Amino acid sequence: MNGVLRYVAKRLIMGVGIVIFVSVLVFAIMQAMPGNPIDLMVDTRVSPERVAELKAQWGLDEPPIVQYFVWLGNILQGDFGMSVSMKQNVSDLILQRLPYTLMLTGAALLIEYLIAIPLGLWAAVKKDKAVDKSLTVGTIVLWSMPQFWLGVLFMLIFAIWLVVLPLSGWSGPSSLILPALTLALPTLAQIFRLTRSEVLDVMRERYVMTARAKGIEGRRVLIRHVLRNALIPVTVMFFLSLPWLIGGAVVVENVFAWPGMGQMLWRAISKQDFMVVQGVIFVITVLTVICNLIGDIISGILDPRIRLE
Amino acid sequence: MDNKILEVRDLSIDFKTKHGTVRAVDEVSFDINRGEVFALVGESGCGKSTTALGIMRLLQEPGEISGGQIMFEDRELVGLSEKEMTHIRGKEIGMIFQNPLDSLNPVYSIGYQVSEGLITDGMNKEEAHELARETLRDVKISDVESRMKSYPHEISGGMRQRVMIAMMLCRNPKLLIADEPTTALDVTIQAGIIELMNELRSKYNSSILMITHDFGIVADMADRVGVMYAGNIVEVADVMSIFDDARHPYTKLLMKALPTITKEEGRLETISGTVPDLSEPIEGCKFADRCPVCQEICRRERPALREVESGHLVACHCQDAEGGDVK
Repeated sequence: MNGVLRYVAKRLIMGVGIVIFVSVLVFAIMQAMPGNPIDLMVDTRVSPERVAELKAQWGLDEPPIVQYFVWLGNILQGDFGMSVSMKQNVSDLILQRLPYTLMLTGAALLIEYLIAIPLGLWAAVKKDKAVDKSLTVGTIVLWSMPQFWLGVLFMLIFAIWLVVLPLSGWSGPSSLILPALTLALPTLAQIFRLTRSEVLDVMRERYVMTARAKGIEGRRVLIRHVLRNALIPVTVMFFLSLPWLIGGAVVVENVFAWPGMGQMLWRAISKQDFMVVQGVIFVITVLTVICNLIGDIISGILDPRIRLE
Repeated sequence: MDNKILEVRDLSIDFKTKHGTVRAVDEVSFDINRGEVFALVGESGCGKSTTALGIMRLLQEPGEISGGQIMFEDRELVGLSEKEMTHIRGKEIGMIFQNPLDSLNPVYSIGYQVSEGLITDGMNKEEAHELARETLRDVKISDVESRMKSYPHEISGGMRQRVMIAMMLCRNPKLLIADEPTTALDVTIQAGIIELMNELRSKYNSSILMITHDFGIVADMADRVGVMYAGNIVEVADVMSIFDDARHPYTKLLMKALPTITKEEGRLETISGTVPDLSEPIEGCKFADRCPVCQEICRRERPALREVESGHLVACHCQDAEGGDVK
């Protein structure tokens, strides 16, 4: 157990380092962007003296390095600044919307893995049989569908023709089903293929032969020896794909008018609302780092060989 | 008959590939007596490991048994269902593999892996762990308590092979198949493993089928020897006869190719030519192309395994004439 704790501690320290690095990067991008928040806030007729005054008020006349530490300090205190277009605290906006985005991506991930892992295992066991081939083709067909198109198709079938599910927006748990499916199904192919190929690889391992030579019954060999090893990379992939899904959520949230961060980010970009864009990107990158960290820790727990490194 | 633990009769194993069928094991017959160590020797690719996997019914695609019988005690193993085989594997026939480095599951502790088989036999966890500890002590693993919690990557190759042996011995199988158990190990560690297996052999009273290409191991362990060439058994005899009175030209040449300290020549003998391509059917003796005493009949007719002396079987046409003297 001691080894596990040391491994976790090491990864945590690395994670903090990465967050600091990312914050520098995010800030640098903000600096490199043309214009500044004050120019967007005020009219062109406002006198240069007043603009300078406002800049001083917002701390934008300081050198970038000072601005960075002020910005970072504020973020650490939960203050992400003000939205220029919505005249609200960015942190309030994010807190309102983050739960919806996490709910959507979480549900999508769950659907994706709960379907893809058993299917991957099944296809591997039935390698080259009809089941395997049709599953492979089927998941590729799903993969080839653009999410916005799949979303609109689902809306048409389930909300307009069959009228069994809400069309869009948030009106209770049932409105989660269509956007979560739209987010999950196209990427399901990746997890299916990963599971299938990992299971096939592990099946060829000598230790699986050993387990069989011990007289361990087929199903137990498959679950305890094959799947247990094959799921290590799949589990890591689970955590690595969460931020990626949040990216995909930007499109799906817009199609379904889902009140999440993706939709807000989309609007903020079109209105050049710097503080919101910065805040949302920062939150997403921190989430990415956290997910990577969890992925590393989980893989260390699942695979005793990794703890040594 | 009752004294025999394993009887293999005309066992054939085919590998069906796109480019045709390769008969890796061709009508092989031998038997193993209770408490005996039978060594199956031959060069790489001669079918000895395939024979072992065939007995365990663990052949991997596209390999399959295409004929013959495997009688284990009074049960016929060919044709048993996968489920019936799980009751025989491990419990009655154990198997040790060539490379201990990848034969243990990396994610489970030694204790878990050694006791897993015992638990599937119906033993409770505490008893199984106690027996696992005891067997690990038997295979000379020090500090058993902490080793039980170790993972395979934390221990050396030699120790992993000891764990492997303990894993198979703890269930006291009637027959233990050892497929090149020392090939992947350092020479010094090899000697230790062989010594250990000899010691345990008397304690556990298992019969052993030893698959090897190393005549040193044959001399150290075997009671009887079967020599394989290109999927056929060409000679079966007790270990003394193989070393002193080999009859088949291939066995004789193998003996000449052994390095010995008494030999005065500076170079080792080699057998000229190569093993025939098994994907094409061969009419006569498979060794004919490399045989120094090859006759016309050898190319036409496959020699059958015949008893030339009590317990000494040879498959060679030249045997009947005058003992097939090889220069």
